[in-house]
Amino acid sequence: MSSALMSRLLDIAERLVPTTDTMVGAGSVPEAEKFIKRALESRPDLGDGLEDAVGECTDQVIDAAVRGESIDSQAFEQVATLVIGAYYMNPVARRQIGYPGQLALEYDPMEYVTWVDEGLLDQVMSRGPRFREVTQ
Amino acid sequence: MSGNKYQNTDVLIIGAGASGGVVARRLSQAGLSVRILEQGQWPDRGAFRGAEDDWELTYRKQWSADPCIRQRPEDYPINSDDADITPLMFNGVGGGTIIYNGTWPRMLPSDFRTRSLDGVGDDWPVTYDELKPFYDRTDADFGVSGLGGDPFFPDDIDYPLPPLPLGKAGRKVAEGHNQLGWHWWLEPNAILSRAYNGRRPCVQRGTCTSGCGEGAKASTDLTHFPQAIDDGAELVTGARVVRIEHDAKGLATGATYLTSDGAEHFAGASIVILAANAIGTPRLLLMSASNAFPDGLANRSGLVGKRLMMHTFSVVTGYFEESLGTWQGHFGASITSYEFYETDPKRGFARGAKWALSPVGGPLGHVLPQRAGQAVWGPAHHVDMLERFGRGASWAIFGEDLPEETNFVSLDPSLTDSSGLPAPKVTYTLAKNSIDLTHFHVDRAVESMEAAGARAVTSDVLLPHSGWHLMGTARMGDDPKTSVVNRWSQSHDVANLFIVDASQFVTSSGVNPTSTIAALALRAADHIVSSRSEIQVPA
Repeated sequence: MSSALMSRLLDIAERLVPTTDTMVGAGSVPEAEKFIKRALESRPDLGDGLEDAVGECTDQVIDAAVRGESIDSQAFEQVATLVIGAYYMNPVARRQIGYPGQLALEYDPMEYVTWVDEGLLDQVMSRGPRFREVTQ
Repeated sequence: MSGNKYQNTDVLIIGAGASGGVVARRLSQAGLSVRILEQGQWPDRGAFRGAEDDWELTYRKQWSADPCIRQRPEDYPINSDDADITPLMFNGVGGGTIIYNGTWPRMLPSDFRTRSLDGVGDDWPVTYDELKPFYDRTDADFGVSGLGGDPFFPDDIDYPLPPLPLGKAGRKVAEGHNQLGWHWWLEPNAILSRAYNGRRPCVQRGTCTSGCGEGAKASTDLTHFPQAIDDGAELVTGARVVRIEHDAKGLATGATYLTSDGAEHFAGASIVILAANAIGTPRLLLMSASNAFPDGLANRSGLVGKRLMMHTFSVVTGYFEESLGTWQGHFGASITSYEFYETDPKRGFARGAKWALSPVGGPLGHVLPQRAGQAVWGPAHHVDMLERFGRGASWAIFGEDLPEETNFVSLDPSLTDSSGLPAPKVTYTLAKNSIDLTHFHVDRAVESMEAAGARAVTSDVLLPHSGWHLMGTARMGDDPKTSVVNRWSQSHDVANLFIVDASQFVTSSGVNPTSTIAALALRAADHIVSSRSEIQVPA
């Protein structure tokens, strides 16, 4: 990817998700370029015609998106998916929103006994059978 | 053609998904020689991305449920230009069970009697009571976690495994329903809450619909085909069926298929079983037209491909003050509600919908739930993420879709798959009943979320990219003039041809279909075993 194309992608990313006092934006997050390249490795299809797609994402289009206007453009869809997909693969961006990734969690499969005993299902049970009678 | 590549078998099964797995395992266990043709491959479980940081990106392409987006070599395109809902599926060993969410409800007794009860759809030739023993057996075979005693069912279902966790979101919404006096119950899921039959339990990773890396979610590549193969079944992958062949008496003799090198083969069998889903099955029957069956094999009723049903799908999401961590959890559903499932004439529509409370996905899914052009961009993006991400709980609402002959699968006149075979074309229009039903249920689900304490509620109504549940295109019935297969899933027209996927559904119900697909397939397999000597087969 040319440096000009990468630069424009980072610019679009930053305007879609800008840096604020407390949050680092999508174009200036550390290793932003690395994660855009990684996103392209995961989704090579997003690289197809990318230069043209970026070209279609003019400042006017980005401004309209930021204003909350609906953007009906495959090019915008492609570019936004790439830069935001890359952003939320980045551990820095994930930490900002308290997202650790999809983890393996432990739980007790018998936990239901406790809340059944506490009466959580009592209201449902108190109404009695609810199934519709059917003549076989 | 390369001629008979194999010896004839007792049974040829086309399709290695949910129903194909069930019949393959049962028939192999009974000692029949079984061959399965599957156009896809064994899933590469190492390629599942749920534990990787690119999970959400790949979920939108390589693991998309839409074959027209996924575009794997084994996928065939579907022309859905004239369809209000896009059909979704997965081709490979395990079929749709590789990417389904594992939710495993049974149909309710009333679902089999919609004509008698509500004057809509048609009654099934089988009843809940007849199917119950098969539901029980498939629950054990797939490994279902759940809690018996749901008052919406007439029997206390004894699930083989304890239920999966209720979770913070499940508890919050359950408490809201208790305030409203509405029904809720733990959703049964074919996802293990404990180790079972050599499989590991669910770890709540929340990525079930792009392949379960733990193997906790039941898929027939794990639960059925290995045992079938141990019992002698032969599974041929990369085998794309061209047509089902028949003899002069109109009995099926086997299937002609292509391998990836383009070579044509024939697999002969005494009994042919179609298990290719409600798009693939009618496609093959229509592709098998001949002089004896000019409108397609097994289609003297004219109903092959007709009455396609796809559940309507809408999502209502409540956003809460505290983080619920709802990017995690079985996906699958934690709780369900049948409160408004049955017909109430005062509502102005027939039948109803089931609700299932599901996780909401990761950050990319939050930012781009539908289209990038509708997301929150600019400085407000961070505010939206911090206020909503991980704080949402979603009711997934599946509405019953009534059968209409104007909704159908046909062969596209020009679109083909990579082998040059006609692609299916789907013509499907949402009925007014489905639309009215959906709006009523969405409104009630908003009330549910408000009662649960949501500070904001959003609704995505009648999502078009949602045709996971494909049903009805070769319906079951007693009358050969108005149905394709009989009560044993056997073709009225071709005595040794069985259809065991959801094509045979008479009505759609409002519940996820895989449990019923499996139960009906097992029932058909039992029937083949017990009545084999009476089934007319080619000389």
